[in-house]
Amino acid sequence: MTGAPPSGLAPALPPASRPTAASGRRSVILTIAALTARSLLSRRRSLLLALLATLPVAVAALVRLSGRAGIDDEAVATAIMDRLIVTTLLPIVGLVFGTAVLGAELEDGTAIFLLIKPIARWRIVVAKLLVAVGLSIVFVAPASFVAAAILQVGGPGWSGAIGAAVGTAVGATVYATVFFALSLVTGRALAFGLIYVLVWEGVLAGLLAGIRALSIRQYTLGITDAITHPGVTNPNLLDLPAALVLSGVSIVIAAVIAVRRLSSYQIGQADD
Amino acid sequence: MSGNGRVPLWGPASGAGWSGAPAPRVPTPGAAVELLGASRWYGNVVAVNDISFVLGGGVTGLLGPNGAGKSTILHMLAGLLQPSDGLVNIHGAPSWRNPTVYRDVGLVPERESVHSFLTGFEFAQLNARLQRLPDPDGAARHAIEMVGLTEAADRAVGTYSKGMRQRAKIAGALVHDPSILLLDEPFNGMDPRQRLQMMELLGRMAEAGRVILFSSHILEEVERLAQNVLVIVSGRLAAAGDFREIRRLMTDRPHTFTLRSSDDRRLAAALVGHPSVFGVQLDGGRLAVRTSDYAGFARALPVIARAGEVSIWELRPTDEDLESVFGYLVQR
Repeated sequence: MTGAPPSGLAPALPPASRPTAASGRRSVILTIAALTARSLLSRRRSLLLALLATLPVAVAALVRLSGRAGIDDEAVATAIMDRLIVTTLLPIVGLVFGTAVLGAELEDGTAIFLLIKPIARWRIVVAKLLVAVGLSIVFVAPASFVAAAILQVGGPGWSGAIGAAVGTAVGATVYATVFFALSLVTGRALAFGLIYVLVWEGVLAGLLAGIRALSIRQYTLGITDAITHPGVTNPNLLDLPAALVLSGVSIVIAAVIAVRRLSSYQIGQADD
Repeated sequence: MSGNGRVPLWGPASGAGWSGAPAPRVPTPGAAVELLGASRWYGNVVAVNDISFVLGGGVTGLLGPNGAGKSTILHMLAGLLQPSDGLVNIHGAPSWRNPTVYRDVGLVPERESVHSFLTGFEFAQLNARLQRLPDPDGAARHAIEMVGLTEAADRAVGTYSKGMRQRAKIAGALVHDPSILLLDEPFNGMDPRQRLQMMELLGRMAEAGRVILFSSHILEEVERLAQNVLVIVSGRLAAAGDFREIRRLMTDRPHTFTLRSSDDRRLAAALVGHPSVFGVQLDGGRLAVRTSDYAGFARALPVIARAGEVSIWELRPTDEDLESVFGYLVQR
């Protein structure tokens, strides 16, 4: 052993295979995203979530077919759209995908091979967020659209369905991003995520109006309502600009935290 | 190893402890792998304590009992742990928060780290893509071939044996032809044939000029593969240098054997006169013998027993566990 650098390396691989700065290939972001999506969708929990996502549509269809719901049956629409989709399905999907795309891989060790590559950490975060956000939207927004359309939320026309789809898509994006960042801050992201959803949003946000500004559910409801009932202001909800700005700010802050946390990520105490 | 005079072959391996005053931490120019006064602690627990060494080409064994700090050293080198103090450099640049070092480094972690649904080829190909190689498929095929997984390349890693999964991880680590390969307990779970194949592979890679550092708690693995060895005990570098030197010290250290024979008392009287024996003790039907000359004692014992007409029923070394060997090295 010497202090001299190894010289005259005889490459065990053909020179063409050695990395070059100029090599232009499939984007690493797409490579990571494809692997992550494959990994997530191969798990049983994704199937369960897909079944859960069809539940609002099935319930809406049953209610409609039974003839008990009319276009002005607000109670049924609220139960399905608000309670079932926005309050339950949306945060669960965001929580599951947000924490699974990277946090779970860091826990089970499969993220190591990704971290020991010459890839800027922000690219890894972008790739993982694309999957977490994309899947969350796919699992919630179409179901919201169809359920709202069946229930004719907001009256005849498509505004209710579009409002529900856009609102839940934005909500899914914020939930997935925030819970993704949370999974890089703590190993108990699922528990903290549930506490946020159940206690903060479920109880406190209903009691204290000021908390609305820090509730993803309120952003979702504000956007949905503004599109469903254009020109009508609901004093109990955030208006559209506020909901959009707060959603954007939440996404940016969460993404920045995620990049910073991943950049200084340290493997758990070695059990050597 | 050493080469810069800061790391003595024996004794305290830290610059600070050796000279009695903190040595200036000046990285060695051109060093492929260097730790300089590197420490890592978790709260009040010190996992790695003020370790310095420089590695060039060839195979180096990182030897030490479980919990000694071997993985911590490898993880610091791989940029997965921040040193609490000191420098950890790859080709002169810190490995911490510096993903560019991964162009030169391959790491084979001890933990299972491959998605079980990927095939061996897909895993190697994925690593090649993430390394942005111009021909990921060709590089993946070559890496798979190098580790001898060609026939199983299209099977899911989840169906592999432990040894095959280990080789898949190695294929992923060397797909970009790194000049430095770090392996954490690479032989765990392998059968003897797989160990031999892996040793041949690592030997070939070292001959090609690579820096290979692998950890092990098994003396024989290190002996068979590594020209050089770093002995880590309780987070400290207990010994560093040529393996034969360290092996000789390990062999020449005082050994204690217990014996059971047809006449322990007569055997004890005969043994105590032999120059290789410096202590005997009769205790509860067993005879304990301390020797400073392992080989000399081994040759003399049957001769002495035969001359005294004593039958030996049992001969057992009492301090052959690795911890006691390492403990002895630390005391030196």
